This record gives sequence, C-alpha cells and structure tokens, in this order.
Amino acid sequence: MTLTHEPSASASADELPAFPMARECPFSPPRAYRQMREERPVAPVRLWNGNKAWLVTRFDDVRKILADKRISNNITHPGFPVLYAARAAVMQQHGKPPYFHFMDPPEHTEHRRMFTQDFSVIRVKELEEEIQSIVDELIDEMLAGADRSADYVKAIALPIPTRVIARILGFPYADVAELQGMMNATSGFGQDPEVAKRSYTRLNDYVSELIARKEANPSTDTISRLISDQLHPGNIDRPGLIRVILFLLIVGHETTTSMIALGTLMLLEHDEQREKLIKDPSLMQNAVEELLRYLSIVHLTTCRVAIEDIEIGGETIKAGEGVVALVSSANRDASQFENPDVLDIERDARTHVAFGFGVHQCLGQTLARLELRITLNSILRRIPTLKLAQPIDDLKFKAYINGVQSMTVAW
Amino acid sequence: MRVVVNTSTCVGGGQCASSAETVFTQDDQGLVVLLKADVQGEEAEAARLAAFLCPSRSITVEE
Ligand code: HEM
Ligand code: HEM
Ligand code: SF4
Repeated sequence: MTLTHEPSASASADELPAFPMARECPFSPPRAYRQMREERPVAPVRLWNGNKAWLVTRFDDVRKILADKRISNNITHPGFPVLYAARAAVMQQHGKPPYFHFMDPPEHTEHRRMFTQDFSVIRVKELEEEIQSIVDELIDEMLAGADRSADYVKAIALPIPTRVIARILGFPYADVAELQGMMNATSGFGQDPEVAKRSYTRLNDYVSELIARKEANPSTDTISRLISDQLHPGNIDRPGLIRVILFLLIVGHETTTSMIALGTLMLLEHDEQREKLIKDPSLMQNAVEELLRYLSIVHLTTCRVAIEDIEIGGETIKAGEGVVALVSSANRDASQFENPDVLDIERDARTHVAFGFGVHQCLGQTLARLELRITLNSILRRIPTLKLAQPIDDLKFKAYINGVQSMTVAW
Repeated sequence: MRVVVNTSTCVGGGQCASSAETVFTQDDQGLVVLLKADVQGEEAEAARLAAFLCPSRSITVEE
C-alpha cells in the first residue's frame, strides 16, 4: 500500500487503505504496519462500513493512547470502530455497553472489581495443582489414543482453558462441550450475523437457567458469589449478570486456546529454542512472555473512540473518531524489542502489550500465564518427541483472534 | 526509593504482584497493597518495572 503524508482531511474515506489488513505470513503482523511505524505512526484507514479510523502502530504511542482518559471503549458510541458486520449486529442488540469491557471509568472500575478477586495472583496460585492435574489427565488421554497422533487443538489446546474457566465460574462440566459449539457460532469474521444473534440468544437462555439453579442451590463458585454479593443487592441486573458471565466464559478460553496451540507450534518449529527449554524448564516463564509478544494473538480488539481531540504521533484524532491501538505492531517495534521479528525465548519481553494496556488490560493475564506455563512445560517434559504431522502451509488459521482451527501432531 | 500506590484507580490485573512480589500484593478484592514503601537495590528495580507495567498508572516511584 502507499502511505500519503497529506492531512487526512484532504482524502475522503474511500481512498484510504482498508482495515483489517490481510497478513502475508500467518505468524507476522501485516507488512504495512512496519512501514507505518517508520513513516506514519498514526495513520487513517477505512472500515467495512466506510467509516474512517486511525491506526496507532508504535510501542510508546500504543501504551499512551490506551492509557489516555480521553478515549472510550463504549462500543455503542456511533464513532466506535466496530471491525465486522456480525459483531456490529450483536452489539446493536444491546443498545448500551453490554458488560464492563465496553464501559468507561468510573462505571468500568466498579463493574470490573466485581471479578478482580477471582483472578488475583494469590487466587490463581491456589489453582496451580488443579490445573496441573487437568493438563496431566488430558495428556494421558491423548497419549492413550490411536496411532500416536492427534488433533492438538481438540485434545489439548481447547479443553484445558475451557475446563479451567468453567471450573472457576461454576459451569457444570457436562455442559462444556455444548457451550463451546454455541460460543463458536457467535464470533468470527465470516459469521452470518443472523446465526450469530441466534446463538447468542441460546447462550443467554442457558446461563439464565444456570443462575436460577444456583439461586436455588448455592455453592462456593463465582456465579453463586455474584448472585449473593452483586445480583441480590442490585449492583448488577439479571441480564447484565448473564452477559458478563458469558463474556468471561468466552474470553477465558478462546484466547488461551490459541496461545497454547500457536505457542506449541512455535516451539515445534524452533528446534534450538525447544531444546533449551527441555534442558532448563526454569526458562519457561520468560519463554511464555516472548511467545505472548511474538504471537500477539489478540491483535484486533483494542479499538476505541476519542471523546476529545487527541494529539498523537503528529496527528490529531478528533472527538468522535475511531482509534485502533495495534498491539501486534507495538510488540514488533524495534525501538523496544531488538530484532523484533526473531523469536528468542531468552530475551526480556516482559514489557509487551499482548494483554493490552490501560484500564482494560487483561483481567485474566495471571491465569493465562499459569495455564501456558504448566501446559507447555508438561508437553515438553512428557512428549519430547512431539512434532507437527501435517504440512505447516495447510494449517487453517483463525483471523479475529489469531489461532489455528486444528493441528495434527504425532509423537 | 519511595513507592506510592493509588488504590482508587487500580484495576487489579496483578502486574505489580507478579513482577515485584516482595513490594506489592493484592487484597481480598484483588486491589493493590503496598508491602514496602522504601525499597533499595533489586527491589527498587522490580518496583520500577512494576510502575512501568501498571496499566492504570496507579504506581509511582520517587527517587
Ligand atoms: C514457524 C512458522 C513461521 C514463522 C516463525 C514465520 C515468520 C516469519 C517472519 C519473521 C517473516 C518476516 C516478516 C517481516 O519481515 O515483516 C515472515 C514472512 C513471511 N511468511 Fe512466515 N513464518 C512462518 C511460517 C509461515 C507459513 C506457514 C507461511 C505460509 C503459509 C508463511 C508465509 C510468509 C510470507 C508470505 C512472508 C512474506 C511476508 C512479506 O512479504 O513481508 N510463513 N515469516
Ligand atoms: C493468553 C491468553 C490471553 C490473551 C492474549 C488475552 C488478551 C487480552 C487483551 C489484549 C485484552 C485487552 C482488550 C482491550 O483492551 O480491548 C484482554 C482483556 C480481557 N481479558 Fe484477556 N487475554 C487472555 C486470556 C484471558 C483469560 C484466561 C481471561 C479470563 C477470564 C481473560 C479475561 C479478560 C477480560 C475480562 C478482559 C477485559 C478487561 C476489561 O475490559 O477491563 N483473558 N485480554
Ligand atoms: S499493576 Fe497497577 S492496576 Fe494492576 S494490580 Fe497492580 S496497581 Fe493495580
């Protein structure tokens, strides 16, 4: 693409490059991001509905804009950059921010704090043994399967985080598979907006019944606590509670699934790095940060709308205009990470923005880190001969949250 | 070096408690608790990193 340096006002929206942009390499952000970082770090683009939005591509600017109090995450604001039709359809049904992720402080702070206790460093540490035994059990099952080969997504990457988040929230394990099917149908670029809406309604009904059951028979899980501490005193209404529980269920598993699958794939494709980790498992904590940085799988959700004019990167984002803070670009910014396109599990990658930045930074990051560390360590230790058993070019990728649909491995 | 935290803006993601565990922890709501206000050496390094990582800018360090 060509980048013009004229003021954006002179170009009408339909002359602008389209966003989202296609990737040339499934493991690298679109090549255009690099050019933007160098030449026009805050650049206008056109969305599917013809609206203009601004891309922010540099590490410092991405952190700055996401922590700026003059941006809003209110997805129902007319200027909010919604990236595809199915998402717009689901969001329009709500009419107001459906759960805390799309609220702004102080409302956001109040609602997010209903959940912070469940994902604190101390509480997550208490889950370590339980997560380890879920991982061990699933590895046992995979190894017991036929012909020393399996779909890694189905056997490992999807069930681990799904079981963990279902356990934290208090979903009956028997219902998890069915829920997964319904959740898949609510998201994705290619999804028919009508199918997305219907699936969302079915999910809603399921959670509504679950809440009713837990009201009748309380236990020690998160949903029971939310009913007594938040629903009954009136801090959140019933539809709001249903929506936020569904949101946590979805974000709690989809992202981590992708990271487990692609993280494993990266290690399988980098022999030297994998050997180092097998020799010295204490490198894993660092390796997880580097994999998060390198893959930046949640690369399109950090969209915002300016509520006041904001000067950044030599441009003025006007009140009411959309902004996309490209964390995948920030994580490949050479001014912060030397040789950013190289995977190096020994580099210090801790400052990455793969979990976002600002008040919406990932609530589940401590949990995600632990799940990744335990899973990757256990896989390398127990199946050191694991390899990809299909041509890498044939993998089918997912676009919105970067990931793979399936991945045949053998050992 | 002196560390100051602002619990009113904390969003409880735990970057502080995982990057400088002897300086910060979280209370039973998941909000930041300062364990030590005066830190030196390695702890000061870790606290500086935590201040950089804190997404809601709730941690400040004063040399
Ligand atoms: C472990 C797997 C892989 C890794 C780590 C990897 C990494 C990379 C890196 C670092 C670049 C250079 C990016 C840049 O300079 O901006 C690149 C370029 C590219 N990769 Fe991959 N890659 C992998 C697999 C694949 C596969 C399976 C495909 C095709 C299906 C692919 C297609 C491409 C293409 C087309 C480019 C050129 C992009 C351009 O024109 O700038 N890569 N890859
Ligand atoms: C490796 C896995 C994960 C990655 C890469 C990831 C990434 C992200 C990112 C980038 C954001 C910020 C989005 C934005 O600012 O627009 C976010 C928000 C969030 N994540 Fe994660 N996440 C992961 C796992 C999890 C898990 C396991 C949970 C568990 C519940 C979770 C819960 C959330 C929530 C609730 C938010 C919204 C926070 C808010 O708006 O205040 N995430 N995540
Ligand atoms: S890093 Fe900042 S926002 Fe996160 S828990 Fe610590 S003080 Fe709170």
